[in-house]
Amino acid sequence: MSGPVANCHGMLKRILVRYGPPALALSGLIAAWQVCVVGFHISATVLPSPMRVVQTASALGPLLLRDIVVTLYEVLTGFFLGNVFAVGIAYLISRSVFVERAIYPFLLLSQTVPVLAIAPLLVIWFGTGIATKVIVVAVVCFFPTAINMVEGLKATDPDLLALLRLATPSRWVAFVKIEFPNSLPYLFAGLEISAATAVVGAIVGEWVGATEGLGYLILYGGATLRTDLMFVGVVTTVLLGIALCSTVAYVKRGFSWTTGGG
Amino acid sequence: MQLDELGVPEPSLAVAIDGVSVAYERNGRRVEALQDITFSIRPGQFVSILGPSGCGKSTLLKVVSGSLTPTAGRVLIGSQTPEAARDRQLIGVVFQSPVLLPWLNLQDNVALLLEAKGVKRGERMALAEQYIRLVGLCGFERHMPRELSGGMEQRASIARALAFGPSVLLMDEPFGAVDVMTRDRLGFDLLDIWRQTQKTVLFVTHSVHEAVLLSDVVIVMSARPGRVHAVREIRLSRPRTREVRLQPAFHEHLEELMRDVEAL
Repeated sequence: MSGPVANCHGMLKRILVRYGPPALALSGLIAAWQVCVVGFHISATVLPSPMRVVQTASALGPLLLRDIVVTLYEVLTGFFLGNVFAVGIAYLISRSVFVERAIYPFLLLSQTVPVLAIAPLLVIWFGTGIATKVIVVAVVCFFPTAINMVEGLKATDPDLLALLRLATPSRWVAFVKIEFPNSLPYLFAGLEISAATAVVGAIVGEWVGATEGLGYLILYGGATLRTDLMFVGVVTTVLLGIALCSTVAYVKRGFSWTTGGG
Repeated sequence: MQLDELGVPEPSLAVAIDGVSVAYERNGRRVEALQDITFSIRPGQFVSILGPSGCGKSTLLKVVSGSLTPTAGRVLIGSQTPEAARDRQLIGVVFQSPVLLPWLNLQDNVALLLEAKGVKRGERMALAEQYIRLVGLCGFERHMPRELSGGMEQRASIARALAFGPSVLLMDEPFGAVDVMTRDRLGFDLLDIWRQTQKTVLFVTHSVHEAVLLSDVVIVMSARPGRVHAVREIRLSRPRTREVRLQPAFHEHLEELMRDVEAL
């Protein structure tokens, strides 16, 4: 039986084909960066070497971990609240033409409000505590999910709803059994976008007033000319964003009709 | 002694459509989709509506299934309005597209309406299995819709409509999207299912051949506005097998309906 072995080989090959090139490009970039910094004697204040960034990160140790935990907490809480709110609003819009007409224009309008500009306002209202950051994250998560979810709930085949209507007049059953599962591919499309923006939202929230978190680390590094700290903050933020996006993408794959497998 | 006094209802009509007109406004113009449609279906009869696209066949099915109120005239399902019949779950519908839920397996799809109706899991699964067997999909219970062919999907949607226990089955060009070979098989299998379940069927098609093969009565409709052009009784013996197509009577009916359709 060579099946499982062949399978294993196949998987390894697929991973190499898919992730090999970008990994190679990244390694090349990092190596070039290291060589340039050392070769041209670039000051660490202007551009720290990759080695230096790694050293700084490990020196920070538990301090960095605490910043990660704080930012991650803000991101996850805001992500959750913003998206729950988005799904709720999308549900109301899909249920009533009146609500749709009343709310939808403002939904679109809300996207043109610059988060960076309202963040200081949120500090005035909610203080420099965690609430402000969570709200900023929730605000940036809300829009992509809400828009996609409205589309998804409207995409239900009217024949299916007519069919279900023969069995029950309940709109709630129609939502739970048909409309909601049918809109999951749209929901996940929205979640993927909002996962990426959630991390940016948390950093913006921390910039307008914070004493901890990755955004604070970046700001602190800038104020004290510790460029290496800024790099640690930026790289960690990027990794956090990638982790969150990949998680959403991974969960999305569990819903196979997402990729139009039919 | 009168039948009524024994508490036995008179053999009444399964569906009575009486002077039904449907009109609506589009861009400020009045469009008549259906004009004065009148015909009736006896219990257990197989009646087809034959007509070109735009003759309001689908509109008529919507009226009969209670999802559209006619501008004039009325429809009775037995002795009830379509809305009441729908709420008593007497109406089943099969669409041209099978509209199965891609995230449910065949059995759960067939049981969907029973679940919505609140039938307990054990009971609805048993019923679903029974109807899956009836439509010839035994062994595919756990398959997902994407693993089924178009014909199998349409069988599944017939099972779903029947499992739910309606007395009148409305079919809107159910075999319109499957290939010709599959279409003939599905037709004969539908006749088998119909004979076993004794449902009243209202079947929409634009295939003259299919209408003759399946029906007791064919209603020929003209388009814009949708009107009843002719009502033809198909006098062919039952049960109908593939050999029925060799009978001269089959071809006479075919000819007659062709002429009706050409005269539209």
